[in-house]
Amino acid sequence: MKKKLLGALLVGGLAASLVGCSGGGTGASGASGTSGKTLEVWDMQQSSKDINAAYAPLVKKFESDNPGTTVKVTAFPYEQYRDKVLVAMKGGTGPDVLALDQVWMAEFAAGGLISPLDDQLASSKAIKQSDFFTGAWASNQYQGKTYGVPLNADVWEQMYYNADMFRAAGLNPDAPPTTWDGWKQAADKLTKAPDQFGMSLIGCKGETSVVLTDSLLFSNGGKVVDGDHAAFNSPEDVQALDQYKKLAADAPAGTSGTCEQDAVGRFTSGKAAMLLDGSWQQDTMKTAAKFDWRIAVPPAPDGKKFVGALGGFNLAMNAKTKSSDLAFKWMEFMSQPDNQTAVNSLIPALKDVGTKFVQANRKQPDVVLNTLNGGAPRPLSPAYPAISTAEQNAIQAIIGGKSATDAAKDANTAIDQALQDLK
Amino acid sequence: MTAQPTTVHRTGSPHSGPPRRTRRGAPAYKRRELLLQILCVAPPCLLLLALVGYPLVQTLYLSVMKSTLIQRVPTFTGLGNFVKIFTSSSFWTVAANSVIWTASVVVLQFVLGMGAALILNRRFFGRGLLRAAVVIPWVMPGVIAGALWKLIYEPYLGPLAQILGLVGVPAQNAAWLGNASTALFAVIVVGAWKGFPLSAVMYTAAYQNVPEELREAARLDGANSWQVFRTVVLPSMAPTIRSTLVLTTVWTFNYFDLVYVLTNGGPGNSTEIFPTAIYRIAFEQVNYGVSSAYGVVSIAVLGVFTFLYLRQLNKSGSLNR
Repeated sequence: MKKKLLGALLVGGLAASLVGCSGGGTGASGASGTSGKTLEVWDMQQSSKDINAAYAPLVKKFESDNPGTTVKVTAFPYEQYRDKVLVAMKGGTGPDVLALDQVWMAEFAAGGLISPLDDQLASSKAIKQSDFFTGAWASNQYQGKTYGVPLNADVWEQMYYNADMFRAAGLNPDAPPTTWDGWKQAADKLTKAPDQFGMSLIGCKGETSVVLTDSLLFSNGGKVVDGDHAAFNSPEDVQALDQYKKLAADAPAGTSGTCEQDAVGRFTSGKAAMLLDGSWQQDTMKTAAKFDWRIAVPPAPDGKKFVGALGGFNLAMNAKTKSSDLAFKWMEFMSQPDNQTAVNSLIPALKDVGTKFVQANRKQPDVVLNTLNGGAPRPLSPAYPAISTAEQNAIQAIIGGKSATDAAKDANTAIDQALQDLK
Repeated sequence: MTAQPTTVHRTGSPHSGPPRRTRRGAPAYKRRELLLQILCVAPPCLLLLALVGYPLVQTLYLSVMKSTLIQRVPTFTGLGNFVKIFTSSSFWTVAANSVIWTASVVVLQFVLGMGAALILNRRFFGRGLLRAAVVIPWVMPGVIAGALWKLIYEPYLGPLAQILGLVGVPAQNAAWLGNASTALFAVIVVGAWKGFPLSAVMYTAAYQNVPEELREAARLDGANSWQVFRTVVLPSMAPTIRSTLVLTTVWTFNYFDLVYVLTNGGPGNSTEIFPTAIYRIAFEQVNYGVSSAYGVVSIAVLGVFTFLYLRQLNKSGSLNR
């Protein structure tokens, strides 16, 4: 009798504790506050620069300038960043301030996940629109309101090339190819499969292959979206996709699974002679490329000029934050020249700071700055993820052997569908 | 057994007379026992309700709603999501991939598992070590197994390419994971490698439970080893084989991390199976409605399969023959 009672009590206690622990995860409430004293900040990492370490002294300075506050900064690798941000923001456990890719701004603003900052910006003395690169500031606009403060701005891409391999193949390393036809010829000459290849191309399912392809489209005068309908199967776009296909033939097998880090590895290990990547990757080259590596403006079609695809990150404020005053203070803090320089491996978004940064840290700074100033943005639409997916599928199909015309047509239909779904 | 003692004295003992009955008619101790049984069953039921029931209901609910990052408040859309997916070619590709992936991996795991069980049941030097080693693929986390095989399949520097080069195969530098025509096959190989130890362990135990007398009798009747295996061993192992097949089918169908790490569903969508498709649509495209519709289809397919399978078992004489 006693044993049964004891048993029943234990089981009842277990059941009660289970019911109790199911309610633990719903801590974040819906109301946003203004005067919290803790701040959680998320940023991302795309090159080999240690961003977390760069933030440490800044956190200390901010905490000492604002006594009683605690700041926690975490930097995630870019390839996982969107997943983490989406899950956290949708689940209500996101950070107070987060770095968002330019192409995600419209989506997050339309979804109500980030707050407009017009009121705070109007009364802020530390942040002025004219201090920032135009393209970077423009990416924060959605339906007439400003949703973020630019943190960095950069452009896809530069062409890295291995001067030693050029010399070995009989090409002049001081005169890299400048036209698309010349590019293909150089790539052919440099390809001696399976030991070495002309191109290291990014083709995996992800945003990086899209932005690379967009730069080819823009350089040829093509567009992805025109107003509110797709413009992806224009002749210019098809020619650009065709050029991608030609280059992929001179790249190692498996381009459809090659992401940015894989492509960089192929270049730094001497497997491929040319690489298309952003100027931030120069940080990696300095330590990993043990040969005469150079950069150049990527080739453009005959008679046209190379146009890069703009990118970069903005600081946005979580709509559910309880520390909105502190969060805005952090944004002002990060808009100070020294601070922006310290934590960025992409070009800081303040014009003066960015220019100095490029001149101090990059080979051929004029080239980089020209590409940045001449770049064009990707479509800034809440439907961007679906547009990007359509382009990724087109790229994968082309690598798999589909013709550029067919792939462009399918992608065009999908992009139109995505824009329709918005309405 | 000893004989039971004879009659109980009915008169004069403290517990004489029939047991005390409550008004309802059931004995008090039986009610206490019932209460204890309910309390014992309650925690697992609550867990099932919370971990299985709630997500299931939520998925069914979302599958008839339009719910995306932008459509924050779900709106009712009836069968709209289902119409959308059934008319998209990518859904049918995913379905076909899932069926091919599941069937191939299950069959391969059965063959490899049974082979390993038979080999490991013979006595030979190092058998203990080999039995421990054979479990390693199963114990390895799926993500690590995926990363490992990505290196093995690397077209130029991977061990597979080196071995093929030594043998002289012309396709030595093929990108097994990077070509739409070979990616699914390459992933199936990894899936079979990853899961066969479970089958091996189950079949080893079942094999050891086959009565030796039956095998002796068959051999005395003049059967060779293959006939002994086919007519005596396999039928004796049938219950284990059936339950292992059901388990591996369900687990393989729902396997996510291995495929995601190996190919992320690519190239194109040649290795996209239901779990990776659901993940992609839910978290990359943030379309909860459509991904829930995929989820409902996934559950339905598995549910129908399991139902038919179990019904077939009941017809042919139940799991415990």
